[in-house]
Amino acid sequence: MLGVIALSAVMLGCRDKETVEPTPLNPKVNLIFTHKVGNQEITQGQFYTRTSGESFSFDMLKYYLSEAALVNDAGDTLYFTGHHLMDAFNANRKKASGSVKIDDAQMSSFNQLIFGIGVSPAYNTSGDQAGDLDPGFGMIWTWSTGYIFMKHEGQFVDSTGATQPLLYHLGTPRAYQRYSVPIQLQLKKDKTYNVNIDFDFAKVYNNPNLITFTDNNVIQSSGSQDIPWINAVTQNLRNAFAVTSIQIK
Amino acid sequence: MRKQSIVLLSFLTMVVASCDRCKEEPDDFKPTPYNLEIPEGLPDMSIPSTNPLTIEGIALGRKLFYDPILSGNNTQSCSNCHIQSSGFAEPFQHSTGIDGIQGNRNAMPLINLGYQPNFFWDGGATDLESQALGPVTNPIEMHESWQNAVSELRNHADYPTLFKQAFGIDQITSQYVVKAIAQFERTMISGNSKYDRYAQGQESLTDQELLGLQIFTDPMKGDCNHCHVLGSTFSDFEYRNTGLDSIPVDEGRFIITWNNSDRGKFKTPSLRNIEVTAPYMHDGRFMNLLECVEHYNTGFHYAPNLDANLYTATKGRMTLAEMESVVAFMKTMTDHAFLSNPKFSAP
Repeated sequence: MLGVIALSAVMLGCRDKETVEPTPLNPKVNLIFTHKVGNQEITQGQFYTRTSGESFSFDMLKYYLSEAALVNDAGDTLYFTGHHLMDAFNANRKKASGSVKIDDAQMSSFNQLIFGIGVSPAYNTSGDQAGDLDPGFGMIWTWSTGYIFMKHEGQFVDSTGATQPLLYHLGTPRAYQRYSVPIQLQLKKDKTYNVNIDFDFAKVYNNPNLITFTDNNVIQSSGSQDIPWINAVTQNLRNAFAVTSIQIK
Repeated sequence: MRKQSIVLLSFLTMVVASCDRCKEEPDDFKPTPYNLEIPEGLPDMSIPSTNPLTIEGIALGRKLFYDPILSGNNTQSCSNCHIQSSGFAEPFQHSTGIDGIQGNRNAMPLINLGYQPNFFWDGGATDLESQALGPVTNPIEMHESWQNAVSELRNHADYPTLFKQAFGIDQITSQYVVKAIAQFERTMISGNSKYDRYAQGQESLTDQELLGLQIFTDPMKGDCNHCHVLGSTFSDFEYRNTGLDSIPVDEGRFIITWNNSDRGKFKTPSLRNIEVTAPYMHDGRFMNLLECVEHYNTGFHYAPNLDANLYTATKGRMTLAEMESVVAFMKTMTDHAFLSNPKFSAP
């Protein structure tokens, strides 16, 4: 009798939902970011001292992680995410996930992880977009079309000991860069890989270009005067990421 | 056994019911396509495939355009600074936002926007949908976050249904707010001025207006149609430095492109309905049209990026009578039917 019930249910069910083939699923990769200053994971409102002497804090740290891909030995680039709005102080927004469409065993070994910080040119020319690019997240400019790629808002203590606001908004097409991080990853179908990545703000403001906050504490990528800052930050971002561990489930 | 039969029956009912739903749901959303009528003399308008015009979408956009719900303290709508009788511009040099703060540019007229490649005086907005995002959040304008605006719309008595009818969505997002407003704006077409009727052979111009037309197109006199292309949209929508200042206070297009050659450049505005959109220029510095024509006759400064057409123009090439005739001709571009068209007024 139970068999009849099950059979009837299958026969009467919507056709497009009829069968689930037991084909192996593509491996899922979760990029999980830990936001740090040096060795310390950042906490909202806490001050961190830089080697340059200034100390600074984070009230907000949001950024777009875009079009992540794995690169294999043969040079194939397998994209597995679109645009993710990341937020250092929101537990649900520290992770960017996607499944990697590997076709065969040869394509399952990767030695490079690449991703963009910001919104890629194809998506940065309109605000008429949904999902994580919904303008409701407050990551758009008011005076021109396009997204704010990264927002760091907080405070810093200047050389006289006075606390001042720190407001850094990175953006404009010239700020869009893709970053490459070494990785050793052997993917198998039906598995999930948690890739833990450190994002170090000691390096974002220090390596190789020293960015001092004093007299330079409010930057909104709003004019050509900000080009040197944009160039310095994007160059430093190349050194700011490191894969620390990979968990396989 | 009986128990099993009841289970089977109820299970089958569920399956059948869910099937009916999955078949019918996509057909629920049937907005009515809108046939955009283009007046004779204006080109076809390309409508983005991502935002086709529908009767429901346009009506929703019109309601939003006039609704102060999109501002921070619910006191200002788009229509506060874009007034129909002023060609959807504003009769003030600078607009005042909800916090009483004034901007530094003159509100632009909203006419024939569907022909423009980009928006704002400096072209900073790349499509009509994106354009509407800025003024809502700008602290010196409507000073509202999209998060709040959307939350108010979601809790409104009418909007959830209107968005469902226009776009088939269950959850309002900012994306659909700006889509609706853009749809309404694309219908705001002006092409029924005295000049249009003259061009179609239906009406004649006065002697002074005809002289104005001649000066307007004469490369040695007005040379206006070099940029304000005669007929059609009356603009080439290019960016030019017209020598308003030797050193531009507002750097215009440069703010967007960061190219030095764009310093002090602003978009050529359309001249349609120019009679009612005073004051003039990006900063609203001129109170009347004669002051504008006089600027191009003798007033322009030799700024580093001065447009080549002005750089080579002779100062004082027009007499006062000739300038007055150009003004008379410009007034033939007023489309009174557009300025009072009930389709564009507050719903």
